Amino acid sequence: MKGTFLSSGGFLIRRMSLRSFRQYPARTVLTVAGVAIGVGTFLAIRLANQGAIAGFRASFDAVAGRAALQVTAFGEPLDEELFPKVRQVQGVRLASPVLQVTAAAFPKETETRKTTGKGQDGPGPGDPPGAPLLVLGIDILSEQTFRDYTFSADPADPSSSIEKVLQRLLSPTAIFVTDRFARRHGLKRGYPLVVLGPERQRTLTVEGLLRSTGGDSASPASALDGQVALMDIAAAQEAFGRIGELDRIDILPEEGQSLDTLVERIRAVLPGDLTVDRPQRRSRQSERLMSAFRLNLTILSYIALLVGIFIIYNTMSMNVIRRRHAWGVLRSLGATPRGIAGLVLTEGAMLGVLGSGLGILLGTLMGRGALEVVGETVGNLYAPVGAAQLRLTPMEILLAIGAGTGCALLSSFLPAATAVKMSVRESLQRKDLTADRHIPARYTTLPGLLLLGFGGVMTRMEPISGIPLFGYLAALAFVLGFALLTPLSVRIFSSIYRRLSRRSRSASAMLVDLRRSSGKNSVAIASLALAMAMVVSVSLMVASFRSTMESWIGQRLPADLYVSPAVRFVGNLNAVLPEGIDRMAGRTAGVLAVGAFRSRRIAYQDSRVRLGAGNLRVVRDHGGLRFLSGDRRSILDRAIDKREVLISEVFSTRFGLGTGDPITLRTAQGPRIFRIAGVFYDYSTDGGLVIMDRSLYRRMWNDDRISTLAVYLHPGASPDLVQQTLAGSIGQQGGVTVFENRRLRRHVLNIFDQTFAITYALEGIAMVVAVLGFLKALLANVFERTREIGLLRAMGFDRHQIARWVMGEAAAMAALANLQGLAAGGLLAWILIFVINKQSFGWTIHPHWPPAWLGGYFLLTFSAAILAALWPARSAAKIDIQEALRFE
Amino acid sequence: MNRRNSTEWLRLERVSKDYGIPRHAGSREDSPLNIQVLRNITVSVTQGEFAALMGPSGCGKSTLLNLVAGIDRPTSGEIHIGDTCISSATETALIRTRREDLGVIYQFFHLLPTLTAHENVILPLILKGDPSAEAARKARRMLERVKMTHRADHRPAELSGGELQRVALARAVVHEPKLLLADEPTGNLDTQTGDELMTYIRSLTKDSAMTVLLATHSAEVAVQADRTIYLRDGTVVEDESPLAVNQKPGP
Repeated sequence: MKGTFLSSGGFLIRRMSLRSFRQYPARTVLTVAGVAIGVGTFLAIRLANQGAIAGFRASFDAVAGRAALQVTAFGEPLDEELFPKVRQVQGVRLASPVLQVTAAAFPKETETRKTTGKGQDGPGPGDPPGAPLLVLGIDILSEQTFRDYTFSADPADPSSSIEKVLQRLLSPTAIFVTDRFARRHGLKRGYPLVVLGPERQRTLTVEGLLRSTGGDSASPASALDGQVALMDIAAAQEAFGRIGELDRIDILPEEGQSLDTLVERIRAVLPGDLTVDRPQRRSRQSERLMSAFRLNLTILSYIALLVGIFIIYNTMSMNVIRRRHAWGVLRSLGATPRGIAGLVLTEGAMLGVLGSGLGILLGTLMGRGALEVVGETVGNLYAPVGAAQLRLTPMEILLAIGAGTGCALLSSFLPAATAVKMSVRESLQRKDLTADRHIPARYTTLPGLLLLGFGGVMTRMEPISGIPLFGYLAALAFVLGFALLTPLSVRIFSSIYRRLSRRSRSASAMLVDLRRSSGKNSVAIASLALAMAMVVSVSLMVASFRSTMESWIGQRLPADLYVSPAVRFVGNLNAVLPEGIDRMAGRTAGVLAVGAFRSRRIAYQDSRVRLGAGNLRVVRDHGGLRFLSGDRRSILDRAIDKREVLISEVFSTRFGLGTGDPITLRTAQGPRIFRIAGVFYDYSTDGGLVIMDRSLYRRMWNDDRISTLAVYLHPGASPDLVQQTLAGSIGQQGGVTVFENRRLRRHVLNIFDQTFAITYALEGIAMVVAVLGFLKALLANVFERTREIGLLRAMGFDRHQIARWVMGEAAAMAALANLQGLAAGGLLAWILIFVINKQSFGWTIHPHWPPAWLGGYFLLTFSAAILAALWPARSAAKIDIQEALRFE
Repeated sequence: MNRRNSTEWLRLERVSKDYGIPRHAGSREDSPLNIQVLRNITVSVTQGEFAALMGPSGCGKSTLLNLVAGIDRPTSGEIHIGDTCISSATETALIRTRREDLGVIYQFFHLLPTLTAHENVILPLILKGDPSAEAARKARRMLERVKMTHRADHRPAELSGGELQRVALARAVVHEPKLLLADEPTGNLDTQTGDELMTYIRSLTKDSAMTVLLATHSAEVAVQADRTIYLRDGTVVEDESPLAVNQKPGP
């Protein structure tokens, strides 16, 4: 029998399936579009995530070069004195000192600058930051063993030898930029470039161009989209006020030298808070931090795919019902049930493959936009990504086709089973198709409730390796559970509607009956409700997160003014303020108190976390931290008096520590044990933050530097005036920005909004797919009722009444879908906030449910559904009576 | 149980059929309504015989044909086609019987709308596992015999009622079944076309010894059969020669 199907299968696919697709082009196009958008979104997010991570990794590897080991202090400066000690360790073949400064460049090219080199004012306090530029200060002699550079030929002196080029780099004001950077900013050899470092700004001269394309792809010049520059290390130390300091030491071992042994030997000569590690390991640590963010996006992209499944299910299901007569004829002629199921599944797979193919094209196009957004967000939140590229590998193509076709097959499975189960006799009978797809609520309600219960249990489970897999499972169970409750809600809604419409004298309203075709209607309602639930839940989560952030910023940033190095805004979080700036600020008229804050990265266990040191007395008196539990004042008093530390909620969750627990930190004096005085809310980093009083930090790390300054004003003092005075006096020091509180808050919230911009786009896509599905279901309803519509017209219904009937039914379905979507969305938001986000990032989001927003969403989705119903309503109104009565 | 005669090609023994009709989706009652359509029918038809089933609408003619065609199962009793007991056969055996031994003509033609006339006719051969060029030629010859060659590439929507029924007949006999079932084949045709169709069916029993069981409520059609079985309210009330039938009042 199987062989028979194979021989007849090709005939039936060509003659029946393909012709059926062609016969109803609108339905075919809508289905294929549903799959294509689902697959496209799924692929776009995958490509963007991979592109961003590959860009980040490539940049990291290019800057790391061939170094097998690196000595670092987690972004903090190393003492230059360490370099000879490391170089002399047995087994080290070569060591190279590197100064790595994220600076802001102001390459505004003017005639004045070009000719005289004068008149470059650079930025003033409060000016917008320039182009981010990673300046590598290198030792020319050892550098070329670690990294490769190709220099662009000098048009003025094409025969210029490499020695001559390198000679130029030794000049104290020389900087080499990449040809890409030069092109972008109109720079040439001899042009001046104002570079703003963490503490000061300098005017340097472009003395050479590095080739960023061609040559060795692992060259630093190819990293970070060409935003890289080269200086001699001594010149860089001088230019950025970092004399005596290094950022890392790159090491190449002798041949045959065991890296583990070498690490041990190098550690022996290093102070306690420094690390020696493989560069790849450092890169992977940063990637781990990004994984939660990327996972959230990936999950969101699955929504579009999931809604796509509903559409295919509805199409295939409709196909099976509509063509029941054909199945009956085939069966009466001797076709096997398996053959019929095979035909249905093949049709599903064909739509899946076609949709996936288009989805790949769409995904590649959408992926470009997504990559930009994801890259920017990852850059903002974690690390610079560099020139990320979209790479559509054969594996990705296979995966996209697999996902689309797999979903299509999955959603065709039930319809195929229905086709098999249909009795030949009934299939050959002509009867009302719409009455046939009644799904008894009793079959779906219990599984639906069980799924909700299962979801509830899943929310109580712990994450696996920091990934809230059970949380996602809970969300999926809730989504499916709510979908299965749809027949019940259709039944309840219909009873209420019936009662209400009894009073209505409108003939169109009398005809509205969602329980006819309840199967198809339930699926259409469930898919619209699902999209609505997703939109509502993600929006509620983002709104709650934003409102939590806003109130947290309000508490965390209580000061009137903030002073910080300008380069912090181009991503240099290790930058510090010029010495004595706190005293100078304290002397300024109108200033009541100044809180200095030092922020740096330290190693904790195998991870990187941030350590903050602030004047906790100022924090105690003026606000700035909110604790999960305990009295704020007494916690801060204990931290000040008993030299205890405070940890962020994320840190507490990540490492399982709480108030009263001891914590061992690797200080410059070696490992020291501190007691935890309290746990505070923090949303600034998902790696974790430890805060201690500055006096304690100074003693433990011998570091007196300041990262930011919080300035509190006397009541009545004008923030504008003080800002101007402060900016005026600080302006002499350069590289410093004075921010008014309001502006800083806006800056933080801007980053937040940018981060979540892509989620809005994904929500929009899910909604478009759902409305497509809804439109399809309505079109199918009209098609099925062609004969009935003909009858109604023959009885005297006019075209408007028919259209109103279709619109009325669409409105009832949309209203029900929206109500269900709102309920499910609320529950999903709860899971996102309290389970998924808490487990992914470790922070508590305080729920915020703005009724106006929810009302807006309701209106928006409802209007979209009603607009979508215009087409089917018009089709129904245009049906010809005579043809409709002949309709089979 | 009656002993089986060796020349009997089709035999029904005490066949009954009940239908449980489900209530409307909105109904408060869950139990289906029970309707008995056939009661204790015992009939046999010999090879090459042309038997007509006659009776008024709703007497159970179509149900009986459906049971014989194996697209429905009796509530009780047995149905044998050749050596196969259709009423208890496995799905696989049923499918084999449909492919090999059975041809069916329906009142409403039941042609597949996306296939052309020729494709509809070749379908039973393809399902039998013969997609060869010879099969295509055979289907064309069949269309020629029913005078439909000129419409071979037309779809059902483009054909008249008579043409549709001729294509349906060609499809029913193209694979040379041993038993042809016809359910009101002339019900939707004008008299002349109906007569032509009946002449052709009649020729099949003579030329190829095909057994025919034809359901009709028309005495003019039944008269062309070798024998008429009269059904009323689900039971056989008479089983006699066509001459006798012709003298009875119509339904």
